Amino acid sequence: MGAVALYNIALASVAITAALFGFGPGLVSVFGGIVGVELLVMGTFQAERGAESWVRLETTAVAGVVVCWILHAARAAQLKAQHHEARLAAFASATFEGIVESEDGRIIDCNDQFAQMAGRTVRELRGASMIQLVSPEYREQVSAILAANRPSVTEARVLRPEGTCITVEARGWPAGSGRRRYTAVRDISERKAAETTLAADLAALRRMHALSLRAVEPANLQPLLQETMDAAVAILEAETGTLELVEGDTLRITACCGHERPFPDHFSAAGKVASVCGEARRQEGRVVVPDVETSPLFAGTSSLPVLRDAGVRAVLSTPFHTRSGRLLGILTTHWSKPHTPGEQALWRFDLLARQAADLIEHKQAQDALQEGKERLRLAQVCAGAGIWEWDLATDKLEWSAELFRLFGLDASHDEASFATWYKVIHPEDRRTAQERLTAAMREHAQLSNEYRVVLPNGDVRWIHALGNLVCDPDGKPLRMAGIGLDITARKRAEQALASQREELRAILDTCPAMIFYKDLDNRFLRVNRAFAQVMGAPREQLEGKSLFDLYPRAQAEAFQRDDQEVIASGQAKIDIIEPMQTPEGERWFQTGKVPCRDAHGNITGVIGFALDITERKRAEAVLRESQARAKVEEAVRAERQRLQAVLNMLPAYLVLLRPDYHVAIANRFFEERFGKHEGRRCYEYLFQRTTPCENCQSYKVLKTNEARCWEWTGPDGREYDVHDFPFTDTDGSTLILEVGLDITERKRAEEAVGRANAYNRRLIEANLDPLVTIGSDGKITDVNAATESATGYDRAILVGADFSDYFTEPDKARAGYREAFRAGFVRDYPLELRHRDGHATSVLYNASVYRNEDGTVAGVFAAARDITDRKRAEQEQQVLREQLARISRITTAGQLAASLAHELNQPLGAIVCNIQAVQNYLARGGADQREVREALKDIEADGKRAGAVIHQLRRLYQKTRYTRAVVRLNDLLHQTLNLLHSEFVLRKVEVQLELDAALPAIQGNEVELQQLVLNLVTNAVEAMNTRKPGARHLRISTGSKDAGRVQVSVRDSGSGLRKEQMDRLFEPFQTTKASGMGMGLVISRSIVEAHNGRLWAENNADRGVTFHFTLPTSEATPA
Amino acid sequence: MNNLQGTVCVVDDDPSMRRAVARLCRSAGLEVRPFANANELLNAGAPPSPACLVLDVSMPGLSGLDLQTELAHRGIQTPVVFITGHGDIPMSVRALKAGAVDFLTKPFHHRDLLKVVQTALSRDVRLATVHKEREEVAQRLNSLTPREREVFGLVIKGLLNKQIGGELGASEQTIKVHRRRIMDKMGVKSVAELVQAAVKVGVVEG
Repeated sequence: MGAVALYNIALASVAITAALFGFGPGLVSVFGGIVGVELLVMGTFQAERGAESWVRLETTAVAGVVVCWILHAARAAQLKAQHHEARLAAFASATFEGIVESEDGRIIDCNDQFAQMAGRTVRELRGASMIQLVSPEYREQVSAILAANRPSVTEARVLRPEGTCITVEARGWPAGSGRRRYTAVRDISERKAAETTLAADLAALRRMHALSLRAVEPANLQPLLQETMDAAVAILEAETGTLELVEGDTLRITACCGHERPFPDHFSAAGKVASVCGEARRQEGRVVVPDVETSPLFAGTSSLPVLRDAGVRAVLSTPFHTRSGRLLGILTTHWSKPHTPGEQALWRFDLLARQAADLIEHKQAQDALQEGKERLRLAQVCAGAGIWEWDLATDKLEWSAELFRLFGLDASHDEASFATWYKVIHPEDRRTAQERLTAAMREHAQLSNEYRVVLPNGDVRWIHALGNLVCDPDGKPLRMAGIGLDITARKRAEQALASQREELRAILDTCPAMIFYKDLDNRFLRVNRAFAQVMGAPREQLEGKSLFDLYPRAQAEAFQRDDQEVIASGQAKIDIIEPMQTPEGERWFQTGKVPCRDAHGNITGVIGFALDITERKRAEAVLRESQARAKVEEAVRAERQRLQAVLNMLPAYLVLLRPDYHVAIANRFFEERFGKHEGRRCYEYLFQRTTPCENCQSYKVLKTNEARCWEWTGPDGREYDVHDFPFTDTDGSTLILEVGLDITERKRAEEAVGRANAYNRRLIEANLDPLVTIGSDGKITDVNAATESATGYDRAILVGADFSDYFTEPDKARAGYREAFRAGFVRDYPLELRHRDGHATSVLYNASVYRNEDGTVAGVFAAARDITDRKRAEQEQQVLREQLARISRITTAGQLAASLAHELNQPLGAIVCNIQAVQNYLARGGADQREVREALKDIEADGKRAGAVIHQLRRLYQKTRYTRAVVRLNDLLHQTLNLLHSEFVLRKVEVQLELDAALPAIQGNEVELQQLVLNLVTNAVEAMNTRKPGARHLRISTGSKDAGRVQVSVRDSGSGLRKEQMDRLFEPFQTTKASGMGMGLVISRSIVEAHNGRLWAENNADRGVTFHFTLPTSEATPA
Repeated sequence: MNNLQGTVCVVDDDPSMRRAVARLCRSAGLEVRPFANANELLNAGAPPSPACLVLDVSMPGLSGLDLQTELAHRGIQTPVVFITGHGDIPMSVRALKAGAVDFLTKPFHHRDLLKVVQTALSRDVRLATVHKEREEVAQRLNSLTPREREVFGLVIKGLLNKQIGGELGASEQTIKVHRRRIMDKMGVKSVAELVQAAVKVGVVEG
């Protein structure tokens, strides 16, 4: 064990030593390897014994090896580091770049180059902050990088103490551990500048490349120009610009960058306004205006404000030309601040301008060429012409596209060759085409070849080939060139024209009319077959001849006149009817001539046609004749018809009779009434006689030769008013014209009227009442029998006499009929007829006016009613009524007896007492004379009073006579009420009087009026019987409301009247009283009415009834 | 006829009648007071006795008969004479039943009127006397004590003292004493007179 251990320790020591002194890791590894193997071998064998200590030993060995390894590595590393450092320092000193070693952003160390860059010493820099060295705008970026401390490349700017900056590129990388960092810094200022220049150049080149691309585009010039413009602005670092092109004499702004109107408009007239481009053109070179404000070019010009408005301060104008020196245009750029472009920029710009000029020129040329080509193509197309060229030297054919098309070939895959040509030519035309071609060549003449080609689709096209030979100065043909025209349309037109012409000719020849065409010299240029036929000569002989050649002089002159008229007026003349001499003799023709015009409207000749109308004329003549005849006949017929119509319209018969009794004319009326005569004689068919009528009224006319008028009853039974006239016929013979009017109706009407009149008359005469008609003058115009008897005069005397003469009161009679005339009627007008023997008859007249047909008043028709009997009856009635009234009064008187008695008793009793008193006083003696006197006075008064009562009583019993006197109603009322005084007291009736003191007097019968009042008052008192005493009020009032009338009202406070009572108030025998006749109101009414008054009753609003009556005042009452 | 004394009130709406009657009465020596209607009379009040009323029956407003009734209501007992223009039997019967002295129809004889007036006046006198007597008796009666009144009532019935005593619960003697006193007060000597007095006053119906 000890040996192994020792061995291992020895190994380990060696290893350590090796390691320390650097024998290299290889050695250590070997050692390590050996130990390893050893462990393994030993391990398995020594596993069971003393394993632990072995293991410890081995472990130590292994550990030793490991330690050796570590130590070795460390050493190596150290060496490396040293080496590395040394290298670094060398780099640092040798390199161009600045190198900085920093930690945490602080400079630990740097090289001289860096110090130079930073403008400081190395010593100053040690410990300085890196950030502080960086110009502000990069600081953030740099801090971030430093913070991250990762490898980086960045651009920045180093801030030198004096404030300037240099652009640097900084490459940094972290230095192994911690915050240490190494940064390499390179000054890239120059590079940057170079880069910028290059970039600009590159940009310019790019622009130019773009430009050339534009040029390649098949589009027009404009994009190219715009591109140029934009490139110029970009290259010169301008803001805006214009590009002008030369067009004729002027410059026109064709492209603009960034300018709005009115800027371009103003400078469009570049020659006329102050402008830099104008100046450039004039100077034929570049013109720079660094500041327009200070430039003398713009001072005080109109352009200056425009420039200001557009924000332009600096301007550069550069003309550009073609290679040949022709001015193409001017490029102008603008800056908003004062600016002078740099050389480099100008150099680039010139490059651009050159290229642009080339491109523009090229493009323009191209465009022109293209345009030319296009025009040529169009021309070809329009002309339908293709172009061909035959190079005789090479025998090559060249065809234009159009020609291909004309041949129906495809330029892309058919080749231009004679073979092809032959193929397309119509088989029939091939030989001719070929011959012509060779002939032209041979004769050096212009080729003119017409042939057909067949198109692939079968259509045929006519081609007209024209060609010219081009020879060299020696006359040797070099080539032939020409065009091919599509004349298909023309050919077709020609064919159509030809066929039309044929057609026309055919038509013209078929036409039966002569048709000809003459020129202005009257030569027949063309005629048709008909013309030839008529002239009896063939066409060929006629055409070309003049009028005078063909016709006799006179005729020719006539024709010529027409021709000239047509030519002069320019109007057609188509209705010439003229005779013409022909071989067959004279014939008639209808000729028409029309001026013939050319395309310009000028008259070149006359076209005419002539139709043989001889036959027609003949027929026309015949027709005319017959027509004329017919017309005459027609007129005659019409006239006859008219006459017949008139005759037939007549409402009377008309007949023309011949002396031999035949009927010459009979109108419809006659035939309708009497039948058709049918050749018979009048007496035969009218009366069915065989001999003429004796005494024929009609035929008397012949004898007397005078017109007759008579009435006739026809065979039809009707009455006729016949008028006969002698009538002289056209041939001189005398006929009878008879007109008969049917008057049957009239006669009948007349008879009827007569009968009616007679009937009316009989009625009037039969009337019992005297009837009379009076004219407006009051004279009697007609009377009836009754009037005669009533007046006792004959009607002969009455008619024409004054109406009023036959009345007892003529004035009243006159007033009566005047009233009738005025009002139209009077009714019940009372008069008294006076008889001849003196006695009067009371009558009432009803009269009314009667009018003529036209409405005027003709007179008054009056009828009298005899009222004698009535009057008598009335009088009797009056008597009876009076008797009745008297009876009523008596009854009333009887009813009032008690009252009256009382009224008498009062004064009588008083008288008796007074007398006794007087006697007593006288017996006593003494001086009571006053008493006695008074007593006597009272006696007298009472006596009178009693007398008055008696008087009134007597009145009640009296028979009344029809006397009227002035009555004062108020007094009458007082008297009557006095009579009733005791009645009122007894019945406890309160009486109230309202009497109008100014009441007018009335005309009346006192007795009757008193009876009236008594009746009304007793009725009133009676009515209040049922009322309590105290509620019995009687009110009597008088008044005069209306002029001419007085009114009296008697009002009670009874129970009023029921409707049925009110209705029957004035009927007789209506009474509520047991002991009454019921005649009171009847009589009262008759009294009132006899006085021309009115009596009526009304129920009062509160209670009871009021009876009113009115009477006319004495003034109002007629005498 | 000339020895008539008294006042006549004439009520008639008819002036001439009124005057005539008034004159007649005056001529007979009577006092006359004329009135045109019943109200005037009522307003004037009762005339001094002896008096009588001459009333017309048929007057507007209060009729004579109504007046009579009214007077009776008022307790005026002046005798009434009716004069009237109409006379019907029911009217006169009613008047007389109501106590009128007489009912005359116009025209009446002056003698008839004066006679009736006299009758009326006499009645009035008599009435007055009667009245006076009655008053006196009534006065005397009033002076009786209640006990005496009781006794009086029984005495006039004709009852014995003993019976009266028995009725009233007093001794005969007492009754006697009462009786004596009654007689004194009443101013009568006999029972019969007492009865008469009673009759006058109306205590007992006569």
